[in-house]
Amino acid sequence: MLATFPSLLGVMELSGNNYSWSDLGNLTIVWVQDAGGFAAVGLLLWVLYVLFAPAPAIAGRRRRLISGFMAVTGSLALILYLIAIGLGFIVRADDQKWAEQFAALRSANPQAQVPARPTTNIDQYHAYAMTVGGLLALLAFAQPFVLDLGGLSRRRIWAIARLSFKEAVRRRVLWVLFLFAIVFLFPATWFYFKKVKPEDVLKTNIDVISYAMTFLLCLMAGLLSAFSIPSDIKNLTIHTIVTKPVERFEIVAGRFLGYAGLMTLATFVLTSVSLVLIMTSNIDEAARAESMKARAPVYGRLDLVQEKVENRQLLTRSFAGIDVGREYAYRRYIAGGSASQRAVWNFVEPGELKSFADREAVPLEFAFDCFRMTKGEENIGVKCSFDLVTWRWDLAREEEYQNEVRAAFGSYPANIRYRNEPNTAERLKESWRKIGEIAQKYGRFEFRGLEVYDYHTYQLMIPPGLIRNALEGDPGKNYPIRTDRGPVRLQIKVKCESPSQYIGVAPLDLYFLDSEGVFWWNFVKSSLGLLCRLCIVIGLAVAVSTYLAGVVSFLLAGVLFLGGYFQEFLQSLADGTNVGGGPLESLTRLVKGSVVAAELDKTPSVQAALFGDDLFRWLLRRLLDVIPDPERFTWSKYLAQGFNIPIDFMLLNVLFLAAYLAPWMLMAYYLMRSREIAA
Amino acid sequence: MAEDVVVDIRSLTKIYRDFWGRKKKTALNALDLQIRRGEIFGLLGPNGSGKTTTIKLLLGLLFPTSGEAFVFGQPAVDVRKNEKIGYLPEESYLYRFLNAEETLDFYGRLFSMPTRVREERAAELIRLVGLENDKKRTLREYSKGMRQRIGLAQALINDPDLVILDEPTSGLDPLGTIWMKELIIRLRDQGKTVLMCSHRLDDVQDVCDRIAILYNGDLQEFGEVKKLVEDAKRVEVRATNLPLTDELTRDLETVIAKHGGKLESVGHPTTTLEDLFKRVVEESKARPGRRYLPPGVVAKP
Repeated sequence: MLATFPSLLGVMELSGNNYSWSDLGNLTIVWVQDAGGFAAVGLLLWVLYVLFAPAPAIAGRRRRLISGFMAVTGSLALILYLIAIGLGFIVRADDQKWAEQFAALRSANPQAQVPARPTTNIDQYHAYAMTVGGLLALLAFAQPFVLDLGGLSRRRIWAIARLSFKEAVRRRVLWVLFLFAIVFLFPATWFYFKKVKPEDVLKTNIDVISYAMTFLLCLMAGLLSAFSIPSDIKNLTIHTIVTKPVERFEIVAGRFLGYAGLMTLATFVLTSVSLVLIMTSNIDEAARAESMKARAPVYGRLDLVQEKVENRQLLTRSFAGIDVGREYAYRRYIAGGSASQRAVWNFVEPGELKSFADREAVPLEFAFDCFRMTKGEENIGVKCSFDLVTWRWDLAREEEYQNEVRAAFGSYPANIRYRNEPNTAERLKESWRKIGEIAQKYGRFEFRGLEVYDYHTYQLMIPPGLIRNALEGDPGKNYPIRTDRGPVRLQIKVKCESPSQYIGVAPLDLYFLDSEGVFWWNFVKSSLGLLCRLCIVIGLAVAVSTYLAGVVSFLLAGVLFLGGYFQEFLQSLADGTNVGGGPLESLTRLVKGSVVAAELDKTPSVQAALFGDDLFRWLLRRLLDVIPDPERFTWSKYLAQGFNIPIDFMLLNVLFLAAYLAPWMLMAYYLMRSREIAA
Repeated sequence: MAEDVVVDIRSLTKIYRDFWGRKKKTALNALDLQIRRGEIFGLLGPNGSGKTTTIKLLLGLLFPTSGEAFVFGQPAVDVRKNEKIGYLPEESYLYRFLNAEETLDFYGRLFSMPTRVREERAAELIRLVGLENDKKRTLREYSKGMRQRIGLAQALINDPDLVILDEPTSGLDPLGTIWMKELIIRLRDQGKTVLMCSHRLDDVQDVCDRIAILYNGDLQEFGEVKKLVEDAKRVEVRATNLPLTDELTRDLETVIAKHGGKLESVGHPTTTLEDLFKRVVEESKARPGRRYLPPGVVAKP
């Protein structure tokens, strides 16, 4: 199960996968394993340094570079890692045997998903050994740092932070970057020559502001941070600091805080100016309705199914969706017309739905992609139907249900809409009340023939009676429709009704609207995401600059940061799911003129190349552990789409940020401590 | 370690190696040295002799290959000892975007000095080093001498017990040099210990109590300045109100020969160029408009 949790230390996926506090335990275990691995390597290097490099003078009461605690916990960590390596060979052999069973499938389609191998005791022991070994290695490696933390002076750190701030402000070149950033704050559509749909104007403006500010501020932060300590060392100004009672790590902490403070101020200024410009500009009503919001959604879990009724039984089968040939595979498609395909959103937790039970109407919002095989009718969208059923719906009562709807409204389906304007006729209110009663009685609500267009957000009101029906009682352990989180209480089934058309759906495309926040506050929150990314840049650059020259530090920090934007591609390379194999295999195919689909002859050179690629993938997986995930902190996409950025989501991600930066700071501590400043 | 020993160096060795660990140069070879409290100690030697390496090892800027060094009883690499140390580097390695006040404020903060104490001390030091009129200008605009002065000020910001000066008179004009030497002596009189490196042997001779001479990383000579420079084989006699004549010379030859010696020379002693310079400048200050006149030329009334 832990395999489903990516490394907090490095690359983390986000799209649709927002972790909650309940995931923290498993994420922590993964972090301990990864950070512990790096701590073990660091510990080994430190031991080698102490043994072979000139040691600082010691006398009298000896201050050991390797304490007793470090030695003991490090040794225990080593033993556990040796056990883990041994168990790892067994796990790998089992993985290979399992993969061989699906070799035919993979050779036909390298990107095909192979089902996960069932977990064995060996897997568990391996995981335990890695976790405990990692924890011990972390404790051993971090012990001197933790002890020295008590001796750090906030005043000195603050003094160095102030110095960094002043130095940056008095550098004129940075003001040029800042002025560039100001230019991009003006509404992008002033400069945008391509026609933008009215409802997308605000989204476009926000995107342009976000990308421009990210690029310019990250560049500024990277330049400042990467060159600060190396310049101090090159200009020898650091001599006048290190010869004061200043702990080496205080220099690192001071520089980090100083630049973080400067970037906070810059972000605040730019955010304020851009917010004022947006709020005072003339925004199209469609754009306001689409994006000038802060929706707080409640999401379900999406599943694509093919269903049919046989002998009064509803039979469903999951399927992967239709590939319509779109480059970006974020959405999956279902066919329209008489096809049996449905996009089904499942809601499990009662807590998610409770707040809707007492409302007059429950807003259901959605935005789909429409893929047209034919032009269809002019000025008519793609028609969709919505069928909401609770766990208490009984297919055997279908006829009874339809008859009751017909009797109440004269037709089936009724397609009743909620109206709440002051002049709404009493009969419409009565219709809504009636459909709510029917929904509560049977556990079903339908709406058919709703026209949708590409990427427009629509709202459909649901009677609260349906929700009350879903919440009543407990489906129990034997209820067949369930997810890994439990039995499904409510399903929302979407069908495309237009023949020869497809609708594309993604997990976040449909949701219940819980509440709406304030746009300007959401705007401010999104800027905190930018600040988190700036902290990543500053932390990386300051940490590596404790040892490397300024230019190298800047390039390394830049490559790591930008690598995070390509994590999906890098992950496919690391997993071997990319087309064409690894670099050596690709080179072999180029030399031999062999096509991708053809299997290579297993000559010694080919086998050596394949082994080399395995090594490359192993190294790439290690590299992925240190690459950050800037997308995780790109909260402007929520803002642009008009979604609220929840506070607990932000706090959790700030914790992720700390988990990412902590090992880098530990590395910086050791590098500064062991560095001969005047050498 | 005795209480009056401020710096205690025992077999301190520093070997520079390349990336592969091969020996490149022995900068310091088993140095043994002690510096006592309240003295001015000079570290001399040609370029590459190990003077600056010794200082850097004492300050923790370098780590020794072997041996030990203690300052105030604490290992040289312990940053806590730096509370009592002031260091003036050879070049003024200060932040050029700061002005004098900001510079001293920054370094004062590194000693966790309370704000009021820090401000008073900074003002006092700026007056001491004669930069009152330039305290708001950034260091970028300072001359070399001014930077040296502010460098000294930052070295004294914490009122240290041990002051380490690397080429303190470098970049200073003769008056500045005199001022610096007087300041160094004043520091000693206040009970502070001063360790100074210099190429200017006359400066060292003027102020240092004891010296060590290094060459190629080895200690070549060590001891009190007066005793080291004393020429025991010669006798110097000075007299006033004594006209220099041939008769005097002959009489002196006779007396010296009677005692078994040999007269080498007799003549007027010389003062130092520094004293001459000082005198001329003081006279010029006292009498504005004073100018040099060639011999035999009389000034016009």
